[in-house]
Amino acid sequence: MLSEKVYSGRLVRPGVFGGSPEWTAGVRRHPAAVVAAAVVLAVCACIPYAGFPALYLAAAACGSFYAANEPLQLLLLPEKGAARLLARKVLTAWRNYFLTTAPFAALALLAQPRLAWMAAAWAPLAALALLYFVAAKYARYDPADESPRWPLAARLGAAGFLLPPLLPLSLCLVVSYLLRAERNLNRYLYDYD
Amino acid sequence: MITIDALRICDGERTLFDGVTMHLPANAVHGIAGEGRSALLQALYGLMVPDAGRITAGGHPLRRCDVGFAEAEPRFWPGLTARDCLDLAVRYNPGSNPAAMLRRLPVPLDAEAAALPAAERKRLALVLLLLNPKRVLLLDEPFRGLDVESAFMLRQLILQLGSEGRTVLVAARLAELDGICDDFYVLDGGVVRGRYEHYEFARAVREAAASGIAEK
Repeated sequence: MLSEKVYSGRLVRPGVFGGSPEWTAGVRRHPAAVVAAAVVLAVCACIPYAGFPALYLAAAACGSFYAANEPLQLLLLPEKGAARLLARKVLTAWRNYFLTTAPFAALALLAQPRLAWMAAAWAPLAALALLYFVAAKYARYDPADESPRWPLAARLGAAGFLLPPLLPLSLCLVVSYLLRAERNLNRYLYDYD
Repeated sequence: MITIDALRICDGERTLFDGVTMHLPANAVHGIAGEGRSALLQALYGLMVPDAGRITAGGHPLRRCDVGFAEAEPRFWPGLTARDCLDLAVRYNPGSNPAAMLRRLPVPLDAEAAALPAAERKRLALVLLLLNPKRVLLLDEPFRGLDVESAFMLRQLILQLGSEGRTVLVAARLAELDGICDDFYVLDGGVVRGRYEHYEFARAVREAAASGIAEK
């Protein structure tokens, strides 16, 4: 006898998010937050100097999709080595973020064409923030620990993307976490290259 | 041929295995019963690091990319439905056909995988494993929690997989191994208590009962 319970968020498919389980599960589990974010981004896009900072904050919020550890079977599914898997995760995160925010960025540009220069700061900073969250997750990935606690350094690093004085720490941690992430993932993916 | 040679694994001060040796030819189903059977599969999958001894396949270290592992208590990520899990598996293995597997081991596709009852999670994990069956398959307690019909289907599948050139290791209670294994090992106290051919099942049960081997 099969259980009949149907999951309400099933219309969001992994294919929409480039096969990313993180984004699929994240959007599914927080539908109200996603709708609220879309409304806020649309409003902010029409307010001078608010559109691109709001989009940047959304990138930091999307980092929460990378807070939980997936089961090992899901990590092994692409059958890629550590470096290639990490690159794929980062590229998928960027793809999903920039595709999702593209309409709001276009709206902000149309509403405030004088502030187009802000887009030049928004895009690299948002990409860097997402890179940080992906690297931070896999630097400490342990399939036995579903919801790992972030150490203080990682939390300060994340805060650096919101508080400019801490940004140098975040940049150092990005490099450190990327190296550690590759080493850590190699414990599980050493055979796949 | 997979060879486990004098395997010794300690968990803190407790010795899980001490000198376990097995020779597991390909194209066969091997059963493992007794205390520590799940830990042995985890060691074969590389989730435990041996303190001594070697696990090799054809003289080379056993590669994880050649091994598929079905856990006794499969875990899925909250937020993903069973259909998502299958979609992701098909995305990375485009030739696989989940429909055929789902006819044998049905799963509610639009329910959240992590919230499914244990038996359905088990069926989903088996379907995902068998979508892309590896050269070596490790099945940890595959019958636990399954209904009679699913258990029967799974037994047929295991027999089929064992005859397709794969090495299938099934860790289960002794009674569940009857009729599917070419040979089976009984573990107890961190060592191999006995190795039996498939026609020696009655003797294995008798000896296990006589030596008081716990069958949890």
